[in-house]
This record gives sequence, C-alpha cells and structure tokens, in this order.
Amino acid sequence: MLRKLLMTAVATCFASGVASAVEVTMYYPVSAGGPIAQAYESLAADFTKANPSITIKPVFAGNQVDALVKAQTAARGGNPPAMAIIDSTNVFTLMEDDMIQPISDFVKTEDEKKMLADIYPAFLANSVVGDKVWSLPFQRSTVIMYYNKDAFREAGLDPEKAPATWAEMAAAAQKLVKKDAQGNTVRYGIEIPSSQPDFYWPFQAMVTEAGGTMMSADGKKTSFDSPEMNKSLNYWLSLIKSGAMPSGITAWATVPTNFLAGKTGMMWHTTGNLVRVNKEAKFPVGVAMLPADVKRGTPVGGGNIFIFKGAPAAEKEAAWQFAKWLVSPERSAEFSAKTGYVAVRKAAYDVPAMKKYVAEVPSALVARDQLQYAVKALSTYDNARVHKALMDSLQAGLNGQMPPDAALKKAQADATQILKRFQ
Amino acid sequence: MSRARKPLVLEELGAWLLGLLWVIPLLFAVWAAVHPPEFAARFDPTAPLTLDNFAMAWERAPFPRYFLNTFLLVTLILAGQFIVCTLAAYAFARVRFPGADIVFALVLIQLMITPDVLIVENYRSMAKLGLLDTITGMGLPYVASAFGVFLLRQAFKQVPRELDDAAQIEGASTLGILWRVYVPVARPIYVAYGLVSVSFHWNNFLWPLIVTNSVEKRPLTVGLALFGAAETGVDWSTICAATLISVAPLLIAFLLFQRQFVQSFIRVGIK
Repeated sequence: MLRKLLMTAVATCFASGVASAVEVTMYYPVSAGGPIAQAYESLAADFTKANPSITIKPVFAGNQVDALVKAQTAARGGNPPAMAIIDSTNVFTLMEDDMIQPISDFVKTEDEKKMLADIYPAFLANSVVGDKVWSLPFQRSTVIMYYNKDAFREAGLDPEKAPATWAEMAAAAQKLVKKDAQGNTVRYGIEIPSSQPDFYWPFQAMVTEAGGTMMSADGKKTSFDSPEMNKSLNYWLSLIKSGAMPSGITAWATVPTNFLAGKTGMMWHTTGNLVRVNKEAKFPVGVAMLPADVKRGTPVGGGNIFIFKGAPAAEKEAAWQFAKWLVSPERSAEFSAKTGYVAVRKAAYDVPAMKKYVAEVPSALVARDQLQYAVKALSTYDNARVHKALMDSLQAGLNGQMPPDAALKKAQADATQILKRFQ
Repeated sequence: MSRARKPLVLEELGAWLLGLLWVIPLLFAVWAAVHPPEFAARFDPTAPLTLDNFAMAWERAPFPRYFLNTFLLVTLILAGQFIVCTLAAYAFARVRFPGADIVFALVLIQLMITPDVLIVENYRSMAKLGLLDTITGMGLPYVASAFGVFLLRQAFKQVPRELDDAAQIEGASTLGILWRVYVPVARPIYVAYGLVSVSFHWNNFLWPLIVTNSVEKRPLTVGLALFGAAETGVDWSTICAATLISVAPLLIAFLLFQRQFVQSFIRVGIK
C-alpha cells in the first residue's frame, strides 16, 4: 500500500515535472506609467496562451534606475531574473559585472539572424559591443519636438511648418512667449527637461546637432569639454536668457503636463509620450524632428531586453523565446501603436494594423524617420556615475553657479577620474 | 518658565517658517487631489471640487492589499525591534559579561552604516533563508536596530539599582524585573522610538522594492511608485490623491496622538 502510494507520488511528480511550465521572471521598469504595467501583463498572458509550456512572470521594478539596482542585487544575491528590461545604456555596467549573457549566444537559425538584421541600426547601436550583441532593443524612443499649433497660429507662425534650425527655433520660441498684465510669463516658448536622471538625453540631442559626440565607442572615454558641448550649453542658456524658456531646472515629468496645459508652445520630449499627448491635448498637436544646427540629430533611448547569465539554462532559453516574440513585427507594431514608442523592426511598418495606425496618426512616423540621424545614447563604463557627473555640472551651469566652460571642464575631469580604472 | 517671558519673536517666526515649509507640499497635494487635473498647478479658488481623483487612484491599484501589507510590515518590525532591543539593551545596561564594551562598540558601529549599503548582503541572507518576496523578508533585516538598543540602554542605565534590588528581594525573576521595572520607566522612549520606526518603515522604498516580486506582497510605497509615471509625464492629481490615501493613516494617527508624541520626545530629549 505504502509502496503503491509512493510510486504514485513519484509518478505524479515526474509527470508534473514534464508538463509544468518553465517560469520566466522578467523585471520591467515603469517608465511610462500605469498602462505600461498592464501592457506587460497582457503581453505575458498572450504569450503563455500561444506557448503553454512557458509562463512569464512580469515583475514591476520601479523606475529605470531602480530596475537596474534590483536586477543587480538579485544577480549578486544568486537569484537573477531570467530577463529584465533595463535602460540600454547600462550595457557596459552589466558587462563589467559579468551578469548578462550576449544575445548573440542565442542567435542560431537563419530566421533569428534575419530578425537581428531587420532591427533599425540606430537602436542596435547601444547593444553592440565588440563583435557581440548584448541586448535586444524593445521599448525604444528618440527625442522629438511637440508643438501647439493653436499657439503657433496665435503667435503668427505657420502651424504646418515647425522650426528646422536652432536659429528658427529660438526665434519661434521668442514669439510664442505670452505674458499677463503683471508681466508674468503665462506661456513659455519652449521647455526642454533638465532634471536628473534624464537631462543628458535632450542635451545629447543638441550636442549631436552641433556635430559633436559625447563618448568613445568603447565606453571608456568622454569628451564633455568639447567645443560642441560648449556651444550646446550656451544655446540652452541663450534660450533661458531670452525668456523663452523657464530658468533653472525643468523637471522631466512636468514638461508634458505643462505642454498639455498650454504653458509652453513647444517641448522636446520622448516619442514614448506621443499617444498620451495626442489623446489628452485640447489643441492640435504638431510633431517634428528636432531642429538642426550643423545637422539633425537625436540620441536613441529606452529599454532593452537583457538575459541574465546566472539563470538556469531552460529559463534563459524560454526568455529568449519570449524576447523574440516581443520583437516580432506584429508585437512591435502593437506596442508602438499603444504607446508611441518606435517599433524596433522595419518589418513592423508593413503590418496592416500599423499601416492603419500610421494613416490615422501620421506623426507616428516622425520618430522613425528621424532614426536616420540618430546616434547611440551616452553609455560608458560605470554609467550611472558618469551620467551623474555630467548632469551635476550641467545643472550647475544652468543655475549660474558655474560659468559654462568651467562646468564642462569639471564634468570632463570628474568623468575621466571615474573612468580611469577602465583604461 | 522664565524663558517664556523673553521676547521670542525670532523663534516664533522661525517656527512658523519651518511649519509652513513642512505643510506647503501637503497643502499642494490636497489642492491637486480635490480638483480636476486642469487645476493641478493653477490656483483658482472658484475651481470645482471633485473626489474623482481618489476614486481613480483607488481603482488603479489594490490599496486595501497594500495597506494590509504595510501594516503587517511595520507591526512585525516594531514588535521584533521592541523584543530584540529590550533584551539587548538590558544586557548591555545591567549584565556584566566579558567583552561587553567591544560588543557594544560593534553595535554602535552599525549606527554609522546606512542600510542601503548592506542591500546585497541582506538580499543574500534572505535568499538563503528562503524569505525573498515575503513580508518577513522585508522586515527581518531591520529587527536588530542599533539605534533602538542604544536608546533603551541609555534609558535602562538611568534606573536606580535600588529599584532593581527591591524587586529582586520581592522574588521577581530577571525577566520579571525587566518587564515590571525597566520597561515602564522607558515608556516614553518606546513611544518616541516606535514613532520613528513606524514612520521610517511606512515610507521605506528601495529595500521592499528589491525584495518583493509580487503584487500580493508589495507595500504602499512600492505600489505608489507605479503612479510615478516618470517617462511620459505625471498626472499630478491622481498621484496626489494616491499619496494622500497612503499617508492618511499615519497623518491621522499623528494628529490624534500628537500630545503624547511631543511629550515623549521632550522627555527623551531631557534625558
């Protein structure tokens, strides 16, 4: 009797062992608000429906910075998630910690190679280090310019023609400023976020437009005191000085709120905001590429899929299946249409649902078309500290605590100090 | 008492200023929470009042669950801290054992290390104990509080030996003495320390975020972070409503027991 019971127990264990799903834990940051959390939950459920042997467990991991800390802590504690969506710029940090497994290790079949080749090169730029691809682009964005067409009309500007150069933007911003009887500004011309941890991003757009770069390809050197950096910071300051832009630090999260409330005529922000802005604006919204100085330019941004080395092989393989499914043309199209993030695959724009969406919202194509001018986002070893060193100095420059060139020299000196041990 | 007669204009002004600085964010939160989003950053006394933001926040997150988790978390930590710190403090105050000074110095060193530095080590320990993603795992690293041990030890040292001896002659056991003599004397310390502990852990974010993985275990702060839609801009009205929901129990408790709290702090301060 006992023996029989034991046998049944063993058999049940064995059977359930075969049938039971591989569970893949996936950390994700909420960088785009509540709906993103629901989007991940439903993506995970849909995937399990199609692949019953794999269960995806999405785990909310705070903002971009928290998500990195949580994943690093879990990996150091010997309990890494199989996959995590983490800001793409952290690739050097995670490589240095020896926590991630290159995506290249999983790419075997022709189809998988084709998939990689179909991803926009600008989006892959932050993933490729040496001869390996270390992460898979997924929730990607660029900086774009939004403007209030009603405000343009009111200021005597052509609402169908966005400013295309720095000079045009400064002039338009000036015209858009509106003051009340007491002389208080009720509408600024333009707002560009300057709060941490995102300040470097729109700033890098300016530097790119000025023809400069911020770091070397191997992530070991920065050029924060270059003439292009100086030019960009001075342009930024000139917008403030002319009264077209609020002085001091403008918070990342409040810029879209101000734009929607009509408190600024233009804003630079992530394309990840497109759907929300289009939905909530009570005025016609124009979307344009960022203006050029010597050329157009923007950094790419956003989260990539990382697969963690320390997870069991079966989970990593399952995570790879899920990752591939997430960046399939259909899913990238769906995700893009729901949020405004740019679909990472070229093929996504041939999906019927995407064609329909683009026909309704032509502005969804601006960010994609801008990709040809896009560069990879500022990414170095010890990424978080380098970012912070740069932004502390930039903010000191904006607040007038330091002259611009001194601030940039300090940023460069600090970054050089941080990167010394990687030379 | 004689101080009260001196002109205290400057002090009073300072107090008002600090009070104002403290209350402004709260007032803003209340303003934004009870008005439609358009008025979040615009002051207009005639703006229509609404409770929609609260309804929306309440709907968007399982607040009852979060409240329960936070409540369990702070209760667990506080109970653990009281027990562990009382016993340790008594040992340091009254029991002579070899190396007592060194051990106490080690405890004091813990005061100088911020808990954030220990996150990875704590995580490892919790993983080994199988306590990841549990409320116990969230609370356990905070139970042996150096601050609590230190405060209580100082308080216990003030207790006259005679009381101790008298209780012993009456036939009380060591634990009995601790319970009947020492703990009652240190009551204000317990209240003050409890307040600091509860408010700290009610607000703690990073460690709970790292150690929990599921909605069922998430405390209020982590749940609230879901509202902080950093990348695409923030719906201040809903966030403010959610924040007020989160802090309401603490705020109400503080207002109700304000007198006791303040008295406790003053007494702790005098000692």
